[in-house]
Amino acid sequence: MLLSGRSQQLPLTFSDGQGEDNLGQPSGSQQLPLAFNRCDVYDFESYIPGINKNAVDYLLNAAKGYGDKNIYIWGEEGAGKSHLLQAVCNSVAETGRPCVYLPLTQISDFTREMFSSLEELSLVCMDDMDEIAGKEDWETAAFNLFNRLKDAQTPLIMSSRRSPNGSLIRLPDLKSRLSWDLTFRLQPMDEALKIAALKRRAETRGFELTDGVVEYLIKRVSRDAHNLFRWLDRLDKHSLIAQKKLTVPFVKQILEESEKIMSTR
Amino acid sequence: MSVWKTCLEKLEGELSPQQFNTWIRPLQAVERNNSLQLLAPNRFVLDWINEKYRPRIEELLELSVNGQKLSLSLKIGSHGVKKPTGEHPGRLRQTQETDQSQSRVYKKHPRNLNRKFTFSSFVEGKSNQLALAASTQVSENPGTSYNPLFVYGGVGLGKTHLMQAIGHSILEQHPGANVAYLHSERFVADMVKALQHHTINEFKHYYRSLDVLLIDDVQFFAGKERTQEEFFYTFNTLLEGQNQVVLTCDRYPKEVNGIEERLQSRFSWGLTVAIAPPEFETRVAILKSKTEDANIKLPDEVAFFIAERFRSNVRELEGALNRVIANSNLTGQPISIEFCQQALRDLLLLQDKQVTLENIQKIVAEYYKIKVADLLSKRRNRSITRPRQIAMTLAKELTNHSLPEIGSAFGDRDHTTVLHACRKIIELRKNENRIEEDYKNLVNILTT
Repeated sequence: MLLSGRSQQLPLTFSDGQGEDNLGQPSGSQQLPLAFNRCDVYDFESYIPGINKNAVDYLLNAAKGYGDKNIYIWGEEGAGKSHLLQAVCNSVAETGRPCVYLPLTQISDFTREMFSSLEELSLVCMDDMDEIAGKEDWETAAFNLFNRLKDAQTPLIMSSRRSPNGSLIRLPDLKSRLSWDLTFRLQPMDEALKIAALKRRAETRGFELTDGVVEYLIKRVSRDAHNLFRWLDRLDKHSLIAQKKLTVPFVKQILEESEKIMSTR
Repeated sequence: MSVWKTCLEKLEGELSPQQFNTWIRPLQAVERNNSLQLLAPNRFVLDWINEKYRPRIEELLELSVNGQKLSLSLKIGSHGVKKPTGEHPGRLRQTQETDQSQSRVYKKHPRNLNRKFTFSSFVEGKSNQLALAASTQVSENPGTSYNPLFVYGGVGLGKTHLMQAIGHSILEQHPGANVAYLHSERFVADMVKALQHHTINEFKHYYRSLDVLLIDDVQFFAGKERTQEEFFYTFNTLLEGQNQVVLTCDRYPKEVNGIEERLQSRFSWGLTVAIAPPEFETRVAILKSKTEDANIKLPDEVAFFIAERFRSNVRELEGALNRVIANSNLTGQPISIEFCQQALRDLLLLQDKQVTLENIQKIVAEYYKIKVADLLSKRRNRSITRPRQIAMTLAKELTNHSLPEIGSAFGDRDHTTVLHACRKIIELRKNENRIEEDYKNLVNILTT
């Protein structure tokens, strides 16, 4: 059977707090598959380092507990920052040590109490430092956490879309600390790498993405990695619902439908 | 396998990776016969778990012990398995507490001195000479030479380093001394906690019985009146007892807004010294000393190269050096000027460059001395089509726009035209040096 080997997950009651992506969602009375895919793994193995090998090596070391240096990685959207930070958490946890991943895009759900006593953990990851830029209270909270972590020699891994120099963080005390230890620029994936990454993601989900389909897709939609992965999600859903393999004509049909939806909005 | 581990595996399959990393990974488990205790780092995580995940965790626990009753409790805390191996290197031994009740509350953050911040690792220069001399004095005669010592200056100039060096030096001479280093925010947080838990008397007793109090960044006391009041009394008690107080701040005492006048004036009772950005020679000396510590050979011309470019503070300078060392370790290449130029490229950029379609069109048009309008026009003579094809290829390589978007930005062309342009340019770059050179130049202009 076409879908054999693909694990169908049970619906869950946890809400993710993230907006659901409806573009290209199948319409009508078809049963919707699950909201998000549990098969996706954010570990070092599923990240293809390519030209970012330096940064990845240092992150791996940090995850293994070597050195107490902080690391600041920056690069444009879709370069894999969140993936890498979560991979670090995964690796730390494998050795039985506690760590935390702080998605600063969600600080509206947090209070500053969220930062307290984190120096007791083995490692702290702060994703999207840009989100707190200009928010005085949060900048101060991050600065205090930074100092406590430094005192306790707990490594802090930060990510940002901007270089330490270009950061919009206003508190000079915090800003000057960003580039103190190690900074790496994550280079965006080139096309070959994006294709490889898409194929690998599809593989972990248990379906095949043919060269023809990837090439068809990459020529027609915005090519930032986030968008490509979102498309992978959509194609996956459509394929599950229609119980059809992803072929070029099928993908063409899906793209055309979604364009129609977009134009009627 | 432990019950919690089984439970974790199930949870990992059910939650999004992000939820799992944010809420479940920071928990520490303590399993006993019929109970599982989960330790959360703080109240916020604890409440979140209680509200969102506790019911599911309980269900999973029940499943994994075959219906046996396993009691689950959640509390704030940590059982300290921070590092994979060895002892925590940075923590000096605990302060000798005189009183049980006080040790219970304050044992958790004793001196907090970083072992790297000593006088011997401090690089002296014109910009910090006075501050260093005063600090040495204070460490030799604590409580009697300059009290308080107030060191001020911008970020990343070595204030914390000097202050902690005083702490280390006093401890070397008086191993039993009660020395505490803390950031001003820590003092505030401690006080808030003490007020909440009705332990304000212990708090007062602890701080007022110190031999040496080192408080970093007192500008963060601004606007916190209750803390200032408490600090005022602590400060007076310590000074009266000839116990040393050292303070750092980002500016001159009188210039700190939001600090009560009586406190401001007391800040300058002792000695106030400034620390300025390091001058060139000091920056070179800092680089040299850092690399010597790490057993790395840094050629003079390279030290000059880095010191010339990173001027504003020591933190920035160290960040640059760390990057160079890291790159050299990974690639095995010797450290040369060219190597540094490459390694520090993005740190030297003042602003992040954004490559946009408009920018590409503008730069390419300028480069070939044609008009942007020509690039977008229907004209098809060679002098226009080549630049247009190059611009399209650059757009494909340097931006994330879809090919249809690129096509439409170049005078409403089809995405197949973009594809054709890219293929053409790839071929030409192989066969025509001129095109290859132009292309490389343009990439350089656009990205650096």
